Amino acid sequence: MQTGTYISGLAHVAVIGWVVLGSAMSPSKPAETLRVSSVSLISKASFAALGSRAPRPDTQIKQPGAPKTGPAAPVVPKKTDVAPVQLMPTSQPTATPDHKPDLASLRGLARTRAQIKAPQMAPQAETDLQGPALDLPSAQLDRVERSGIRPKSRVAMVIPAQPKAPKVDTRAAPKPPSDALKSRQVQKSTTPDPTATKPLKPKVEKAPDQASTEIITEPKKTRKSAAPVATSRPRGRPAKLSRRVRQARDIQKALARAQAAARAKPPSPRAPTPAPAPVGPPLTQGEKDGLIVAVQECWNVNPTSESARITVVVGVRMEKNGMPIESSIRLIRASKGSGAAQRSAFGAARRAILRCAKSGYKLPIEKYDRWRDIEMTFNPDKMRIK
Amino acid sequence: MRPLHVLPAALAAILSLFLAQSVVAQGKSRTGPLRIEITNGVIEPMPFAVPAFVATTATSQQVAKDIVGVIVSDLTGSGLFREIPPNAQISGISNFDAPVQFADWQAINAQALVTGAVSEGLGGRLTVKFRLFDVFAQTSMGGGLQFSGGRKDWRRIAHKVADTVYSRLTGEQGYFDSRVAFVSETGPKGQRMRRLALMDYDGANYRALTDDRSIVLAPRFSPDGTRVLYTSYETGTPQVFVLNTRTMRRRRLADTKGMSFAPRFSPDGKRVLLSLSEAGNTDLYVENLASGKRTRLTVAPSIETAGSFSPDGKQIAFESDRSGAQQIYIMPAGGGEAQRISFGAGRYGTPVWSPRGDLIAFTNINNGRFHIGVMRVDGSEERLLTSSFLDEGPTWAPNGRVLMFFRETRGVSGAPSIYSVDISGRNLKKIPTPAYASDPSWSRERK
Repeated sequence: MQTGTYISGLAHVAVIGWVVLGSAMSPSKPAETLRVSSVSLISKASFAALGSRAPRPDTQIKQPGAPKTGPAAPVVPKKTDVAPVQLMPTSQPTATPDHKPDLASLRGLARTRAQIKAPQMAPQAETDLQGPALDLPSAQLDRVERSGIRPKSRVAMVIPAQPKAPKVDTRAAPKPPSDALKSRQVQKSTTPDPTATKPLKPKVEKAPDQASTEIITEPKKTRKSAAPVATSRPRGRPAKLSRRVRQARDIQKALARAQAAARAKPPSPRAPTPAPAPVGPPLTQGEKDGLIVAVQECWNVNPTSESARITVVVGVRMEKNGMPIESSIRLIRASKGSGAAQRSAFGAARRAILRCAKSGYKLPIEKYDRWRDIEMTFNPDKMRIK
Repeated sequence: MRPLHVLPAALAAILSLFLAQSVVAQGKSRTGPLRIEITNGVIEPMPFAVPAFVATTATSQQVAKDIVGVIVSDLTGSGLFREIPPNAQISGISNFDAPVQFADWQAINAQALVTGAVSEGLGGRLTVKFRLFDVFAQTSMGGGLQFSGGRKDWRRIAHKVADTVYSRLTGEQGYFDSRVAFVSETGPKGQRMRRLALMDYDGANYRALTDDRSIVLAPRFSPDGTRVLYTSYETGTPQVFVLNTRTMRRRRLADTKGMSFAPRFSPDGKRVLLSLSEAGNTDLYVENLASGKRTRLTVAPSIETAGSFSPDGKQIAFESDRSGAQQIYIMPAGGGEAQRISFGAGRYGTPVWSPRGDLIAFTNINNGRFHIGVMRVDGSEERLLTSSFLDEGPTWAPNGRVLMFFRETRGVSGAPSIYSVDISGRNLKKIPTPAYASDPSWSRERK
């Protein structure tokens, strides 16, 4: 027992000592610190400028000349065997040469080989350069290097005159040539013949409205296959069916004639001549609601009477000052009920129209033709005792 | 083959007609009037003015003034009209036939104007002429009318004028020229002396029909207003009697050893519906007044009572406790299967069919309180109009728009009074009576 205890104790001490001493002697890893930094958004151009602050050692830099006041000489593109880059003309070339490349346009660099097309620099009236200019934008070179594709030959660097930021010309630009006028018929331009007795009016050349009646995506190829091109044409329709088709066509023609006749038919002399269309826009819902509220304030309903079950439609002609013409108030129709109840309901409606008119209903005079005649429906359903 | 060729032409003709109509319709709609719908009005008394009637004789000045007072009282008491008092009127009527200056009445917002003239002829016979005007329409509402009667009938003449005005303005039959039979009570509670009495609907012209030696209950007017049914205890048990109010002759109905009570006339006035209680069971019977023949309508161990004919005489509403509590039932006038129509809370009793036939008035007892209510004849749209310690005995005005009932106050000094209310529950008012009053019965017609 004692022996086992000693062995176990020694083993534990050894393990503990190794752990303590071993960890103490091992190089401690620096504790990872959490860094917090502010992030600011920078533009693409600023980013390019950060990456191309200084020219590469394997590039020759042509010192810029004195700033020219005249238009900058056109840049002669150098032929390189570098994968061509389709340059996007920069709208705002910066004055400093240290551009940061636009990496996005580098994607097709290794795939396509074509002539480098130097950007056409707009002629500058004056330049304001502070740094060397490259015939290829420094951003372009930087792109090449960053992409890992080394050019086979050195790129001759020229320092083009950096275009200045375009200024707005106060003079109006000349009108661009208009597109060809379209017409259904092709019309060739003519010039007046001075020798003619009656000079012809010059015609403006017009192109056809559409070049062809169908869209042809691919030219037709001559078929060399021996396979049948089309099936044989079916037989003609049976005579019975043809008769039905003819009848259907007859009906359609007759209907079309009837429609045309109805449209073209002048109104019969006995038919009431339609009054001229109302002048002014229709009354708004707010204007209608205003009239409704004005009238209903004076519509007195006896909820216990039979007249409270009768809906009457009352017609009234209005004067331009918004006053109802008393003699024009008439009962157009009434719902079912006794004559006395209908008279009572009409009387209440008429009193409402006349009483609340006071100095005239507030209606827009410019829409007088819209409210010259009014039909008011007095519906007491919501008010009667059920 | 030929009919097939005709088909296109027929179709074309129909289509052309349709198109032509649509063209005309479009033309109409384009130039149609402005259309609006008004669904919310106001419920308020209509302002009216009754300037002093022109007295054509010196002796008729006071009666002319009194007549105007009754007309104004009738109209304002209905709750549907509001008088513009004389001191607010700008102008008066000095000549009955002179044109009305509507502007003066419009200025005070009088919507209706009643003008009249009173003359007293030989023998004190009164002649009252009147006209009704719609002030804002500036037109006469109906032609002028003239009533004549003895001087003592001046109130009735005034009620007739008010009835006409009411009818022309509301479209409803007036109820001012009507009478009420009721039980007049005197003395302290517990020792009340009861007698049958008559009065005008407004409490005027009180007249006792019986003495107070025996207890009388539940008078019911005949449709023509010449007879009154009532229950009397003069034999010791309740028995039904019929009294002619003109001759004051009476006779006992339902000669039975048991009790008879709760009588009511049929619409034609020839039969009487009543309850007979024999051997502890109460059922409904109908008795022919001319022949005395009696027919039993219900056969049930429960209590069936308070029957009321429908206006057409084809149905009977009554109360029964056959379901365990008082409820209202309807059955054919000749008896048969009854249908319960009351299903609200509490107990229902004393159903009375409206003279218009559209509603049934009833008494509801719920949570110790009494209510007067109305419901449609199928039991729907029930409305409780009143609530008090004790409201009972509803009776309809002749136009079926107003109810009378009696209300008894609580306590030792409690006493009954007659009230009226319209079917919307508005215009509750107490009818002035010379004594305590209960069990009103409104006459439908006055002869």
